[in-house]
Amino acid sequence: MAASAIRRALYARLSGDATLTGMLAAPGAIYHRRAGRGVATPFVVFDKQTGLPSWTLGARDLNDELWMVKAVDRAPSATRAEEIAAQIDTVLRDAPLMIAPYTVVWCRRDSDIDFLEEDQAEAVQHCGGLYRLLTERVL
Amino acid sequence: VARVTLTSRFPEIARALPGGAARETHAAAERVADSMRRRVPVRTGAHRDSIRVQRGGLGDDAVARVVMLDTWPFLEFGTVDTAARPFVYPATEAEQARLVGGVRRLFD
Repeated sequence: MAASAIRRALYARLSGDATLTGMLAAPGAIYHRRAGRGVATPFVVFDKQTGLPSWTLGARDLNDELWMVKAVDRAPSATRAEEIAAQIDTVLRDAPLMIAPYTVVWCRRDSDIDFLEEDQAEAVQHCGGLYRLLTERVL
Repeated sequence: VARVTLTSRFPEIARALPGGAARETHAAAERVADSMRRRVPVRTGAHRDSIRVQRGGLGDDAVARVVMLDTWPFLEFGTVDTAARPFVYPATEAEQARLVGGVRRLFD
């Protein structure tokens, strides 16, 4: 399965939620892999962490992938990042992602991401989760 | 008259299970640690060199933990400026099926 199909579907799902984009520094502050140096926070960044394909009779039918989706916020308190993470979970839980010719059979948060980064004595909050996406080819 | 004799292997399995489970989990932890060492980004090598397996704990010999520098989330999930370079989850996800298979064989 091309990761780009899931990437596009996740981006569309996240950027299509007005509540989520309204919580960010800018409506388009959703980035794949990295936001870039000096980008205003809060923003959302997402990336594929790992994936395991299953093969059946030579065709890849089932894919089990973990995607990181997290809020990043320069702030002394984690409150805003936590609120964004909660909205991410609302948007992604059992999301009907369109990844033709595959169908999503499972989209749930598998584990949390919650840590503090100190960037030049400034607190940066990271809150979100690893989302397990099981996709199956429609035969 | 046909006779069928059924015998229970539960006592034998129960005797073998604790040691077998410990062997499987310890071996799995060593494989995960090796996989992490191969995958972790290396600049100074501090993260790679910190990865080690602790055996036992929580009152259970069949427990094994892979420990490393507590700054691993910055590599695994990225920072405000850098992209994620995952090495923990890819290593553990790849091992799960093998560990489950190994424990299942203890019941054969």
